[in-house]
Amino acid sequence: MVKSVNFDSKVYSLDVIKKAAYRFSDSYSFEFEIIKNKIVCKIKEINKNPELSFDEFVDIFKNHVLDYDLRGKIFKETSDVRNLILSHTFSKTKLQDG
Amino acid sequence: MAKFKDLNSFSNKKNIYNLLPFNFDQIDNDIYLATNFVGEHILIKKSDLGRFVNKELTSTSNIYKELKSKHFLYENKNDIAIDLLALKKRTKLNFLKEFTGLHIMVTSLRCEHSCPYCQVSRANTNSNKNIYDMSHDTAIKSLELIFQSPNNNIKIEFQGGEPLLNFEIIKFIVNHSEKIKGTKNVQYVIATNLAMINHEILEFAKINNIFFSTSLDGPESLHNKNRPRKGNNSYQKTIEGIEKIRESIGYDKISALMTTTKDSLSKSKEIIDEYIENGFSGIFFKTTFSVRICNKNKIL
Ligand code: SF4
Repeated sequence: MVKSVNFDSKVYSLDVIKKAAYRFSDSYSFEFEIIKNKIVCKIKEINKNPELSFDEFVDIFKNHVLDYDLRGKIFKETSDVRNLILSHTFSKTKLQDG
Repeated sequence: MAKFKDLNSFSNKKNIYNLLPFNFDQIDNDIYLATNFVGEHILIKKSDLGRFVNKELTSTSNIYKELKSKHFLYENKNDIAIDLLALKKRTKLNFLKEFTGLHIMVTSLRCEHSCPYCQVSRANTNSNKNIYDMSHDTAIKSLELIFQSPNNNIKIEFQGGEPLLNFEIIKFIVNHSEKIKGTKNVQYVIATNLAMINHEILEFAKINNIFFSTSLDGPESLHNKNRPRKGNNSYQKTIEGIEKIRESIGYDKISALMTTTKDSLSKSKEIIDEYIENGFSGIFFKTTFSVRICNKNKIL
């Protein structure tokens, strides 16, 4: 069985959706297509999970997309301070550039 | 009449705090585990996680205080939290400075013992040396790799099979390593069953301050049962070897460890006595690993 889930490309990046997809790639296969402002994600079941219906999985997948989006936001917002911390960490070692 | 403002009016408004790097994952329906790179963690409700990232938490809430104390947020750019995090991270990564000190070089896979618990793909003594012994080429490349370690104290341990069956390469490695070691301190250890020890080896070890490590599994009958060899004299060879090393190089140049098998379990007293009689002040217990022929021989 194949199901299509649409994401608004102004809300989610393809990258974020792909990250969520990788997480489930042992049991589902994913195909992406960008149509206008939509990212169409076609999901196919490879290994049937008797404890999880396909619809339930789609809901879980959508939540994971949301989580990856949040991670991306945190990563972006903290990248300056991450570099600052790392440069403090490695100061006085010989492991830095320049 | 003017009244006191309520508590919430003194709490931080939105956006007053900044996020510190962290990651999270769902562990239960509504519960997320958030971790940061200094190893702190926090269990947080899904709704709180969203509010936290969107800067909607107030500084008086318990979750805010916990997030702050565990370095998931800081309040302004000059906050000491960043220095503190850097310090914690530096402490956590301190091992990198002393990166990989111990290097094991397997000089031969051949051995004249046939211990059932042996973990290596051991070959007989008359097997093809070109296949089972370390070549000069491999030795040189291995040393190049070893000396890439930033650690100032390097230990090279020769293992086998029986490493002394390829003593030529041990000599080559020690001589070459002494040439290229620069300012590093290098210590050499030969892990051997001692059956092959001879005058030439002892002399070389003395000159180069080489240590020996051997196996002593317990009293003669147990040791010989665990460690068969032609002549059934492994125990005798080991004890003689220990004495020779102590006499010609130094008392502390040899250490021993025992491998525990099911035959050892009822003989703990005898094993300890054996170690004391032979002048060892401690015992290092080595358990058998369930690998290779050790598995096949069902000696566990
Ligand atoms: S002496 Fe060591 S290498 Fe040789 S058979 Fe015994 S355990 Fe294996």
